[in-house]
Formats: sequence, structure tokens, C-alpha cells
Amino acid sequence: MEKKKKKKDRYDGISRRDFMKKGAVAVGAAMTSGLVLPKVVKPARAARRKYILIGRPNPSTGPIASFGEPTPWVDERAVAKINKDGGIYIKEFGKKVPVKIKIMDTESNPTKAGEVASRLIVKDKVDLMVFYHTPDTVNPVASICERFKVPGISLDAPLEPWLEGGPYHWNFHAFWSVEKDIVPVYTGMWEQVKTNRVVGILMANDPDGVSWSAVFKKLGAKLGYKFVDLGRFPYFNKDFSSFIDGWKKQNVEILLGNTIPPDFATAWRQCQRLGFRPKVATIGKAVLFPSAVGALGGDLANGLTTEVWWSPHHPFKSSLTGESARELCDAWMKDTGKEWTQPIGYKHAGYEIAADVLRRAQSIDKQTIRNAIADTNMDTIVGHIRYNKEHYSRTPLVGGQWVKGTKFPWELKIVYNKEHPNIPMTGKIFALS
Amino acid sequence: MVKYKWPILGVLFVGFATVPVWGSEYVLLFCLLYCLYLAMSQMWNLLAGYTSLLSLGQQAFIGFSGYAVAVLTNYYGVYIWLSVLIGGFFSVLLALFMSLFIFRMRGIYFAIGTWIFAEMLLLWFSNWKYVKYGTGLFIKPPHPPSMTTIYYASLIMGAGATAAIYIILRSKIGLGLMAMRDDEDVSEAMGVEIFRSKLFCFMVGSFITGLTAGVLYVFQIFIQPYKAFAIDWTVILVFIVIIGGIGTIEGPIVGTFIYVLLSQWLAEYAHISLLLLGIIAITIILLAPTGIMGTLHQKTGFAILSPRRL
Amino acid sequence: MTDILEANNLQKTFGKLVAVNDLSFEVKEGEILGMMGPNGAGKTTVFNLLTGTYKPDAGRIIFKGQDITQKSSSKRCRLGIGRTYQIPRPFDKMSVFENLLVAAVHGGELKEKHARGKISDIMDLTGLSSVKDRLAGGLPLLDRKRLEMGRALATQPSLILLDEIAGGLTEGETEEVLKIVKEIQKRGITIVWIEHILAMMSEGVDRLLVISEGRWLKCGNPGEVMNSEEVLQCYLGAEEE
Repeated sequence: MEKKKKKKDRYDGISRRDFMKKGAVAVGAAMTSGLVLPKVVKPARAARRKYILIGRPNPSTGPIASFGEPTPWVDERAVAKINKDGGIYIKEFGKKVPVKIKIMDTESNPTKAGEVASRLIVKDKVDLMVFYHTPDTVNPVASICERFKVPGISLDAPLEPWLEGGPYHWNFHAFWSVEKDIVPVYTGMWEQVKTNRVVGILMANDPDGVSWSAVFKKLGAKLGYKFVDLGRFPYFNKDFSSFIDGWKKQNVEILLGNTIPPDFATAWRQCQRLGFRPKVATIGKAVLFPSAVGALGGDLANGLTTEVWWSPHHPFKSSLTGESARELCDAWMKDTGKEWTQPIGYKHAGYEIAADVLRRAQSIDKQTIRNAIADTNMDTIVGHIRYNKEHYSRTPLVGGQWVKGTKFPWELKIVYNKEHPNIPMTGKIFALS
Repeated sequence: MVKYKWPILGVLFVGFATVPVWGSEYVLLFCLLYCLYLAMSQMWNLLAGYTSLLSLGQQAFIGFSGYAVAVLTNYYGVYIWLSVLIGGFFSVLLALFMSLFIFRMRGIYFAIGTWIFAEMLLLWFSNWKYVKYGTGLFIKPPHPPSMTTIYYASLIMGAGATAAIYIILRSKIGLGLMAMRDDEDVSEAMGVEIFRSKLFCFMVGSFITGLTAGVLYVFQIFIQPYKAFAIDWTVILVFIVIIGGIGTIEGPIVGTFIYVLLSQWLAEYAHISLLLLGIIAITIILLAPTGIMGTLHQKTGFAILSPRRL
Repeated sequence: MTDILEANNLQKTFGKLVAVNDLSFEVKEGEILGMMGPNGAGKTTVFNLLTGTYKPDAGRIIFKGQDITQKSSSKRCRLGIGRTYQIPRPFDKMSVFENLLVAAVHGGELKEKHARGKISDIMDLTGLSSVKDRLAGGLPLLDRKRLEMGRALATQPSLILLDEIAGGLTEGETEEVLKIVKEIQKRGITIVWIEHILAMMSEGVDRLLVISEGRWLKCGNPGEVMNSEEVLQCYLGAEEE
């Protein structure tokens, strides 16, 4: 036994000395190779591709996938148009080069979005990042663009949460504000219906629900509205009877909501069953997409009001294809057989801005591209884009109401346009009861 | 193999340590993510694989520590790396608090207990005005650290976590853990302090997971409660450890590599990425039921970082 | 001789079953105390009470003058009470050596380096040296029994509780076990020994304690106890059932 022990000790000693020696050699080798390798490898890597690459983190799966749904239809179409005549002239290449895009899935997860954006920048070496759809995508990707000093064009996420990440140097954003756009549009719609100005709040315990209810209570009170707020509810709540009882007791005539589609469906069905019939029901997010509206069943969707950021009725034209909003929607419906959705226009506009910027920049130098974005002053399919000092451009918002349709079961009519009279009304708001 | 253990590990470490010199930016990013996920999965491995603490609540430490970093840097102007360190200690405090309630539970009850804690934290943070509810916070130090600096921080976590689990398993506590794994009652009758050993590992796990999450959010910049406290984190850690081989130190080393590689590769196949991930996971588990390193160990006896005593 | 262990009025019930009923006895330092009783008499429950696996409903346990009734089983092990299991429960995925090492490092509170020497000594004593590096899960019964004793010894006990350590073994193997037990006693370790084999009890132990239905029946010189009326009646009665 004693012998064995000694042997083991000796073995330990050898391996330790061995380690020191070999370790030192290894460190040396790694260091030298580290110094030599870049010279060998880097020139090869520096041989640049002959195209412009745009990074496209997109929520293709997960809870906000319905926002990302028009990808890659919109993307491929727009890129084909940009590349039709050989692409865009870039002075580093001395000729026109095509634009290519790389779409990667964020899984609707901000952490994943950050990782994907980093990868697009460091591995694929994108020249420009174009991204959209809710703070969950826009906030993390914008942060990563700032870190790596890559120009970013983003759309389709409320301004307030985006501004939290500022001040920005490399990012430019376009969309509407909850405070300056949502509140006037919603209250503007309510003004057109004769009510007692008592508003019941149906908002989920999520970022939108929490921030919207706070903003409405603050600004709505000044406009003479009384709010009955019985608190936030968790996702997939099954019983709204206490909310409904409370609203009935306080004689609520306006229902204000911001929920995910299944929760609104549950709540709205229970409202019908328990005999709660407000005169107006204005709901954010839950009734944005025709699929969600149809899923309510029966006639339940009839007369629901919501915000409209883009529609075929918007009197704007694509600077890229010359299509009107109507024509873009028709093309979508023809190709996919699906009803138009609001993100389509914004997705398209991203490419309009990108193409315009690259044409003016004529360079793939990041600083030059960034400066070209800052100078943007153009009409797009979602309206005029011109970034202010805080790097954002507010896009128009109007109000819409769901009614029974002819082509599709439910169609969204524009019933309020006071702030943007150039967007035509296509219907007149009616009270629910 | 065992004979060349230290040289091999030394070369590996030196290779990692010199990535900023020889690697491209992408290699650096890859290694950064690798080190962060390695550290977190090693800790889940320590708990689930060696301590029989099946935690489904690692996201509680990840989110809590991430928020601590965000609040400290944004609201109090604390130096970024100091706030990461404080975040780690916050994570330990949370673990101590949690242990008051869940250490009486065993097995699946413990697992659900940890999960419920994480869910409660999610509710709390998403309803807390101070952290701007569910809107999330941007971690914006006055002088943002460079990628190289963040990489070295994550390398310290990855290598540190692996060294920590090795040292623990080679220590007196580790010996007791292995006995506990085989038979908890008998190990107690042989003098092993079950409660203290478990608490110790739970705290080490929370500390390193918390520190790593701090580095992760320094890299991520943006933190938002719904994903910071999401069970997704633990699902990833479970995937890594199961694929690599639970209860082996080499398991997470291999599993993390596979996971990071796959997640990078699969993100390009947007609509089917999760499906593919699932198929790959099932295939590996069918071919190697105890994980890649676990099965390799059973078949060939291969183990570099074995906690075994000879 | 002083008492190393005193059990005073121990009581333990499981639901309606009274497993140990107002049982008192003492163990003298250095002796081998045999413990007998029909099946279900509560012998193993007594062991579990002594080692802390169960806490008694009433009564006190004094070990080396210290009240250990409320101490955890790991603490009692470190104080010097080692035990074996009737059905061997080795740490399956650990080697024989590691099994002993756990006991020595935790129960015996030895430094790992220091423990190695003691363990090789114990392995020589219990005849485990040849299977040192084998996984405990794959050992044959005799080796598992040896491992039970070796592991208990490795905790550096002053009192060792043997639970049917010879049970299920052949006559030759039983002889070997008896030799080991005697050797353990020679090293100054007190032993409490549960066994069914009468011959072994009569020649192997210094005193014999017989319990029945959880109660103290008889205690004293093995020969006298075994031939006493109460014990005979108890065993005959049990067999008649």
C-alpha cells in the first residue's frame, strides 16, 4: 500500500512538472500563432463580396409572429425591385451592385434578437440593419447596432419605449406615439358617439397594458373622461365577471382595452353573456389582425374600434415600385390569398428608406450610410419620413372600425381622421348599442 | 487521456484566452456566448446532476441579477463590473431567501417551487414602477465596455464555473454529494451533512449564475422582465446538460458547444428552427441516452475532468 | 465498565403499530451486545432510533454522557455511532474505496490524505483490498456485507451497530464475518449486534438482549437468556403462530 502511495505521488509530481513545461510551450505557440495568423488569414477575409448586405432580424415564430408574417413576401419583392437594374451604385465598387438580405428569426424573444443582431453584424458583416415589430425586436437590435456602430433603420414599435434606449447615434426610427397619437385618436373616436364619458379599462398586465392605462388615465382625465380601472389581469385570465360587474355598477359606456387576442375574446364573450353592452369598445393590439377578429366568432367583432397605422386607403405611394397602398395590398391578397394586415406597409417602407439612403450614400461606409439616413426626407407608402433631432419620424395614425365585409368576413373601415384628413374616411362610426 | 489532462486543458484555456488576437469578430462572439452558456449550464449541472436539486428556476437568478446590474448602473451610476459583482451577491441573497421555503421540498416539488419563485419575480418586476414595469431597461454605462472586455468577463465565468464545479467535486463536499446522489439517507447516516451541502451548492449555483447573467446583460444591453424571468432559460440549460451528459463535467462543455452552434445555424431557418432543434435533441438522446459524454464515458471510460478518487 | 450508551424509555409508533414500547437498555463500553427477537420485534427500529433515522416519540438516548435524542443522524455518526444495513446499501456508483472514503472524510472527519492510510488498513481488516476499485453496485453479497462493515468502521466509530451482518451468508462466510467482528472488538470498539443465528449469538456476544413486540424481555449472559422461560416461550409462541 505504502509503495502504491509513493508511486502516485511521484506520478502527480511528473504530471505537474509536465504541465508547467507543456503549458509554457502551449502559451508560446498560441501567442505566436495569434500574432502570425491574422496576417495570413485576414487579407483573404478582407476580400469583400460584391453586394450590399442588409440584416433583417424578424420575429418569424413566437407570440408576435403575426407581425412578422409578411416576411419574406414583402422583402423578396422589394429587393427584386431594387436589384432590377443591377442594384445600387456604390463608389467603392465603382459600379452598381445588388442588395442582398439576410433574414434571421428572433423567436419573438429580445435576448435572441440581440444575439441574432450581433451575429449578423460580426459574422455576416451587414452594411445596414432594417428591423421592425414591437419593442421586443426593436429595442435589443437598436442597442446592438449602437454597440457595433452599424446604421439601423427601424419601424413599427411605439416611440416611447424606443426613446428609453436613446440618445441614439446610429439608429433611426419611425412610428407613432402612445401619448401624442393613440390618445387623441381613441378619444377622438369616442367624441363622435354620445356617451356619459365613463370608461372601463380592460388591460393586461404587460408592457402595453401597464403603460397605456397610465397614459390614458393621466391625459383622459383632462379631457373630461372618468376611468373605472379595476386593475391589470394576467394573460389567459378565464373569469372577467368581477370586471364586468364593476363596469355595470359604475355605468360604463366606453370600453378601452389593450390585450392579447385570446384574452379579449374571453372577456368580450363574457360581456355579451352578462349583458354588458358598452356604446363603444376601442381595443388595441387584440383586434389588429383580421385573423384575430374572425376568431371572436359570431357577430362579436361588429363595431369594434381600434387604431389604424396603415391600410389600403392610405393615400400614399411606394417610392420603390410606384404602387399605391391599395395596389400593394391587392398584390399581397393575390399572392397569398390572405387579407391585408397593417405591418405590410411598414415592412415595405423599410426597404424604401433603405434604397433611398443607399442611393444617396453611394457607399458602404457605415458613417456615410448613417449620415444619409439622417438626411432622409422622402414620401413612402406609410407617409412622409423625415427624422428629427431625436432620430425619429412620427407616422400618421387614424381610427378604424370593424364591420362585416364583402371580400373577407370582416373589414376595417376608417372612421376617424381628424389629425390626418388626407387619409380618407371610408365609413362612419356607429355605436354598439 | 488522463495523463495529458492538464496540458490539454491548458492549451484549451490559452486558446480561448487569445481569441481576441487570433479570432475574427464572429469567433469572438461565438466564444463569448459559449462561455456564458457554459457557466450557466455547469451550474445547473451542479444542482441537478450532483446535488439532486432539480431547479427549474434558474431564470429567477438570471433576471434578478440582470435587473440588479441595470438598476445599479442606470440609477446609481455604479461602475459596470462592480454592479455585475453586486448582482451576483443579490442572487445569493435571493437563493438564501428561496431556500427558507423550498428546501423542505424534495424532487419535483422543489422543481416546481423554484419555478413558482421565478414566476413571482416576473410578476413583481413587471408590476414595479421603479423598473418601468414590463417596458424593460437599457443597461447604459457612461463608458460602454468593448466586446473584448465583455469577452474576457465571460471567459472568466465559463472557465471559473468549470473550475468551481471541479474543485467542489474534488473537495469533501463533492465526495458527500456523490454519496448523496447514490443514497441520500445512507449518506446522512455516514456523516454527510445533507442540508448544508445542498445549501452550499445552491448558493454557489446562484452566485455564478447571477454573475454570468450580469455579464450576459452587459452584452445584451436591453433587459425586459418577460424574457429575463422566462422558463426558456432553464429549458436551454436542461437541453445543454442532457445532450452533453448530466452529472459529468465534460457534458456541459460539449453540450454548450452543440447548442450555441445549432442556435447560430438554425436562426437562419426561421420557421423551422425550433422543430429542427427538437429533432436533433431527440436524435442525440436516442443514440446516447445518458448524453454524449455520459455515453462515451460508459462505453470507453473516457473522462478528463473526473471527480473520481483513485 | 462504564455505559457508552443508554436508551431510556424509548417509544416509537407508526400509525397504530407500536414498534418500540417503553424500551430501556444500556451498552457497556467494549462489549458486544447481542440483540434478538422474533420478526417484527422492533430490532431494526431500535437501530434507527439510535442512529437518528427516526426520532423517538418519547424517551432519551444518552451517548458517552451526552443527550443525543434530538441530534441529526449525520451528527450522531460524527460523534461515533457507526452502523450497517440489514440489506446492504452501498453507494452503487462509487468504488469500494470511495465508499469508505466518504465515511472516513465525513463521518470520521479525517482529511482525505490522512484517511487513505486508515482506509487501506480497514480494507485489509475486512478483506476488501482486492475489490478496492470496483464499483460497489456490482459486488457479490459477501463483499457487500464486508463493505457495510468497512464503511461503518471508516466513520471512526466508538460504537458500531451491526444489523444482521451474517444474514444470508453460508456457514463458511459466517465464520469469516464473526472473525472480523471479534477483530473489531479487539480494537476497542463497542458493538451492538442484531442476528437471527442462535449459535452465533451464543458464542459471539458478551451479553444478550431479547426484545419482543417492542418491549424489553430479558437481558444478560447469552446462555442464561436463551434458556430462560420467557425467551423460550416467546420464540415457541412466535413459531406456533
